[in-house]
Amino acid sequence: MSEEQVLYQSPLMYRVLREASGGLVVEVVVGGFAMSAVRVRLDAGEAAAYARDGSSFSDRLAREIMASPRFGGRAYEV
Amino acid sequence: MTKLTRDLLLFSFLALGCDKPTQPAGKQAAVVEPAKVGDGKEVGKTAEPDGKQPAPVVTPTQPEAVTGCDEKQAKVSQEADERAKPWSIAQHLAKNFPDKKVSWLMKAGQYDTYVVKTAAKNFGRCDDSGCYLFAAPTALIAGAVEKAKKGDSHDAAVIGQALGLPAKNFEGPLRMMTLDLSAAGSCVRLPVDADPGVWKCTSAEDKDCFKFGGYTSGNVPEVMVINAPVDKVTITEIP
Repeated sequence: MSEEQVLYQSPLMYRVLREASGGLVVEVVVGGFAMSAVRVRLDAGEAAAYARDGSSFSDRLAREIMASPRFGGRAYEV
Repeated sequence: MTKLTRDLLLFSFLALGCDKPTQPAGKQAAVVEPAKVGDGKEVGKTAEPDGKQPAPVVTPTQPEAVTGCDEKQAKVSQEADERAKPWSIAQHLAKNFPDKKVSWLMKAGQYDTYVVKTAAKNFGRCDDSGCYLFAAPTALIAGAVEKAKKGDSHDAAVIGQALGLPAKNFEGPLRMMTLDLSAAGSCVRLPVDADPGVWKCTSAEDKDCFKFGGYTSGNVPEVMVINAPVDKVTITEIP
């Protein structure tokens, strides 16, 4: 049984996941001709924004992570 | 006619393949069978043989024939060429992609998640305007992979060093994708800051961020391919 649930998968190459703990994580494919992925745990404000705005919020967040894959030290490798 | 002129003509012609954006991955109405990964080394559908068709009637002074891309991409390409002057996408392709083959690498897990499971029609990051993919010369990537072979695995540090990127980008099983631009009909242009996936440089130490001009910060030639069809890509397993 999977420990995480895929809430949304975007053609922009990212996913919003719910962890077994209930927390939300966004997984984003980053990089140019060599692609890998990072994950960022959403804080309470971001989770609320996702609940309110859905993919329009997660699209913005994913693009920010693509542009800065360390995401201020919040991103971790998959 | 010089070889360079012929190359410029051919690459200008290639860009004419860019027409209306096709449906982004995950949005197509019909299910398209993705390239399958099996036990063999090369398992995807192989691109059409190298096209040797005569070049169309355009002059080498019109590298902006990339207006063969859709209207939006043609404009982006023209602006990129203007900014890159005296460099251009046509010169870049002629010099760095003489066999017209481009490649890119993905970790196997992400390839499965974002290409196979979604039955993606095109590679790359897709929005309503198309699917955007960074690619580098196949010979360069294939050479790095060959050097890195180590029994049934590979040395990520060797690939990283050869491609001017951190080794961690290449740890674990990989998939190497190859597309023959002469057969794909994809739009090709210089990458620009606004492209999806661009990693903005924040310090001189950043090795893997985006630098305008057709070369990575590790000095590897790169292009932006719009709508690289999955069914025309060869996929190679790198264990």
